[in-house]
Amino acid sequence: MKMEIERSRCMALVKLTGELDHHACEKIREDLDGILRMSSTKAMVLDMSGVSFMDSSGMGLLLARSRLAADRSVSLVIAGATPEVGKLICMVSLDKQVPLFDTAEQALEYVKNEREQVRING
Amino acid sequence: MAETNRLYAELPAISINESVSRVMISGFLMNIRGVTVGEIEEVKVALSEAVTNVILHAYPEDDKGKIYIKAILDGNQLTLKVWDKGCGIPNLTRAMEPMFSGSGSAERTGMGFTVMQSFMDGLDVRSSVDSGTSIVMTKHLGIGT
Ligand SMILES: Nc1ncnc2c1ncn2[C@@H]1O[C@H](COP(=O)(O)OP(=O)(O)OP(=O)(O)O)[C@@H](O)[C@H]1O
Ligand SMILES: [Mg+2]
Repeated sequence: MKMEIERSRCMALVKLTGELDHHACEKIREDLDGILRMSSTKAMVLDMSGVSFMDSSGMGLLLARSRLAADRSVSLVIAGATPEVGKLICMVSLDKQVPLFDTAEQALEYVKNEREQVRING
Repeated sequence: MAETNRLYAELPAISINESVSRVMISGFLMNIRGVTVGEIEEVKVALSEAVTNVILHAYPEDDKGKIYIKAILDGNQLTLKVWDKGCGIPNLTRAMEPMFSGSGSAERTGMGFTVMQSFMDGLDVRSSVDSGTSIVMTKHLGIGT
């Protein structure tokens, strides 16, 4: 499992590549939480277009990160999930809590607009 | 006559063997007549659930035993058995309910058995406390065969 992080001010774009099973989850969990816990992080886009496999361990990882993001008032969005990964995301109703986008570009556009709204409305 | 094939593996219950078992089963299923990539993916997820459960739940942290895997192909009919000689499951009915996890960890959704059930045609779980758990899953592979 490869994890690439791109940061721009309050946004983090995290690209995951590989197979998201229990073994991989153990390796990336702390890094993801580290980003979510940074006071500067207001939004995180998880680009899952490179995730070729996921099972219930991956579902648990995503669900627990969505809870932490909510606790920290970080806007978490998921991009590029394959149909197989999407099916598992829906199985635990994660799609009700986290917006899903086809591409990372669309997801970034969404969080940018969201940040803009926050700035205008205070 | 339908071709038959068999696979048997014993692996230490350590997390690196989750991907090892998936690679093994993909290879085993690859040449079945009419099999789709989607079907192989479903079997991989179901096997990964069973194997991960052995790694996470069956054995004590300091004494990891083995994961036993047996696959039998009878033409297009797959029977996949995964078992362990671990602690067993005290309340199996409850353990198999969606969203139930006996682990107490916020990282576990308790969806492993539900995933196995929805991705395979049949799921039969037997367990006895202190002697282990055995899971038999079946699936017909190859659309239109
Ligand atoms: N091989 C096993 N040995 C002992 N207990 C098991 C075994 N397999 C499952 N269990 C028990 O059954 C429960 C339910 O398993 P299930 O796979 O559905 O959920 P989970 O493993 O807790 O979470 P998830 O699979 O979503 O990460 C487990 O929490 C565990 O208590
Ligand atoms: Mg499980």
